[in-house]
Amino acid sequence: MPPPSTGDWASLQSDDLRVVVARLRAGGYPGWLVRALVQAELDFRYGARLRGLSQQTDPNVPFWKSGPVFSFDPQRIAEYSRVSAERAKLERELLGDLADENLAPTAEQRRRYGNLPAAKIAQIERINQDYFDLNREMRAAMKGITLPEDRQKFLLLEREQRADLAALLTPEELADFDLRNSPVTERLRPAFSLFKVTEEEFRAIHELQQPYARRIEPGPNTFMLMTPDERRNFTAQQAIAQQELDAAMRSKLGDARFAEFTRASDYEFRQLNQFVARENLSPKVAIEAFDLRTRIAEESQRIANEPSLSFDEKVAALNGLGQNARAQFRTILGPGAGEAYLQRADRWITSVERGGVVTFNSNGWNTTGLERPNSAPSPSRAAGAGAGVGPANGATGPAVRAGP
Amino acid sequence: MKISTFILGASLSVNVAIVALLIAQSTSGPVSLPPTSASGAKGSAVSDPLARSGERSPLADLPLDDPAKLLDRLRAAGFPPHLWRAIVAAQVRQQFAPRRAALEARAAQQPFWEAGLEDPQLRAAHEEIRQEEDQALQAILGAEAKADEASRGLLRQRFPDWPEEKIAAVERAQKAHQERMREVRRPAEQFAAEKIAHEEVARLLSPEELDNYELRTSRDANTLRARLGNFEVSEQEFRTLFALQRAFDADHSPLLIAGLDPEGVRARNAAQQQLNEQIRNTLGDERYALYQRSADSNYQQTSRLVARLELPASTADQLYAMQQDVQRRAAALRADQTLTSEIRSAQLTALAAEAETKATAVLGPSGYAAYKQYGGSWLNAVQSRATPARIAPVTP
Repeated sequence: MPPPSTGDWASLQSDDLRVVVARLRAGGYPGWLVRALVQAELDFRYGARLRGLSQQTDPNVPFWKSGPVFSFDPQRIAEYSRVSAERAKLERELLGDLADENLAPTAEQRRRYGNLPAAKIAQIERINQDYFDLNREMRAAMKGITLPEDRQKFLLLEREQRADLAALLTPEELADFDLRNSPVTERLRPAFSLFKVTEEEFRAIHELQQPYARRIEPGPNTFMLMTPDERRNFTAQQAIAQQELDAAMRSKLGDARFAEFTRASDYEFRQLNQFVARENLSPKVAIEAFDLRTRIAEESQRIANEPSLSFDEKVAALNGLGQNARAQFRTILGPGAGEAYLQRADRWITSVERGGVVTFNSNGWNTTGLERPNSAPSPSRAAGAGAGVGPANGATGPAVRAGP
Repeated sequence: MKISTFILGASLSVNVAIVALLIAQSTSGPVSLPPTSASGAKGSAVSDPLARSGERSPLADLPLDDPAKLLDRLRAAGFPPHLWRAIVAAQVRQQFAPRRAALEARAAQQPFWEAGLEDPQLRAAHEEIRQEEDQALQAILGAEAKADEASRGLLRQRFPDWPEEKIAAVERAQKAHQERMREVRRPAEQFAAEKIAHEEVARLLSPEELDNYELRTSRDANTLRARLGNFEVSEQEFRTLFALQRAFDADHSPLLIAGLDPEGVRARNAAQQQLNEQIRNTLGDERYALYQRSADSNYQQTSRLVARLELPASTADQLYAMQQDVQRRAAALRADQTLTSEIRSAQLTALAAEAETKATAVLGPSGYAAYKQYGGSWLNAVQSRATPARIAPVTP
């Protein structure tokens, strides 16, 4: 803390924050100012400690020594949880009626917790935070090594969390909580902002999707706890489950609505909608841009399979396709949304410009190189938001020597 | 210093409530009026010696509707920077509170199965408010608008001799780097961003300060510490190794590998060879071998497995030595042209079995099963190459 000055702050401040809050309240300062001051002062007193604890390398260890990284250091994680909880408790005590949990629930909280009273919401959030902290400590103690007995430990933790929630909520409240927070609902929410359904439709879709939930999304701990063979098997089964689910959804919604739903579920389509909304453009512009993306993928495949074109002609055609794509997206989306989208789409467009054939699926995008005459095609590069793609013609060179 | 005090009393408490009503800004949620006694937070009694006198509040007539004047007033009143920043930022947010409240109301009307504020329209509107808030704050606070007090606290802890202006300037440079990194899409762009960050901080610090800063915070230093693992070095050795690595990375950073042509790869490999020799000269042959072992990802995983199984740390060394021995003998078998493929295959199979027996003896059966996943993947290569390749029968 800086030394007290001789100004007004010196009269207000105290090492005991309760005294400071009392003086502010007695002085009639508005709630937002009291909150801002309390939170800033707590950040000042606790912030460096928390930031230091959560650094990957421990700042208290001499710089020439290596300690365990934060993710694998259960003691540091436990201390971080303890200090965070201490700060949060002190904030609640200091702010009293101004604390978050005493304010009216936000729209997001209503989405998750329905009409539960604010006090009960606060208890749920504390339960979830406690179990999140316990999960994190258990994962840290694993040090990146999964042993068979770990599965049971995490299952036990899940059961105990469930039991704590069941003890707090009535059966009806728990059922409503499950519906609002289920993995299926979490997964579908982004799509349902663009694909509108009634409550009846939502409940019917939720019921249809529920049996596939664990086959499509294993949950944060389950995948981590699988052996490599189990993961390979899961990924293969996941693709089958997705196909079955798609067929069931198509049957339920009909072809046209299923196509709309699939589009609304696509992450890049949702991003397009955000860029378009930011520029106050019509949502139809996002659909037009998304359809262009689909046509580019189809055209790249047509070029690749065109028997009348030589290899070099195909490469040139794909290069032209990619370059034209940039101009077309700018025309459709305008300068603002166009530049924003082209930044995101740069990697797959560049792949096409370099002679790659692009396909899109629910996991993102994929490019394959052209098949050279009398040789095997270049391996496909699975991509998504972050994978790198090399030259489509599969050029290689001497291997880069590794360090010691 | 005359100590000012707050005026309390039943008659004034009503006036305070009226004043609070008049000066309170609208908020996004209902906020009850503050209690009118000096008891402060709900349920807690606070003894405040200043509450007994009848003096006027030291901060009367705060210009709560004018952030720029509020800033001047708070500074003049001696509020420390982290508080005047937070209070002014909160006041600016208050000005946008009605718009946020309108968005919140729109989000509240959405059914629970829709995405709320993640809805593209609402998110775009939210983003617009955030940008306007940032601009408004920037106009009042300038470079201090985005100050991260926790980062500054950490810098104060690490560099207690630095004056506050230096702390603030370095933290602003760190923040600018984080914002540049959000736009980075390729490793080469990350390299360029790190170079800019280095140059910005170098302008703020003396050469010695810069050295100490980078030894503690740079990516190169973090990478070196990760590579060292359990291998202990002295402070001077670390400084030397860091200087060598930094000089190498200036021209041959791993972030630039993707853009190398074959000639570039050859040049990099040659430079890496030279770096390895320099490290060997620094540490000596014996310690260099231990350094190489520490940097081996298999050894690092094995060390974590051994720690997880609560076995002595030397178990990892034992397993590594066994790995080196088995791999050396397997390579010799494969290179021996005097052996028939059947004999070679049989000997490799026996070698693989020997490795399994030795590893199981120190780890136990379940530990060995985990070892094959964590650090022991090299066993698969010995075992798989022990299996004779199928040769298609030749059709006469």
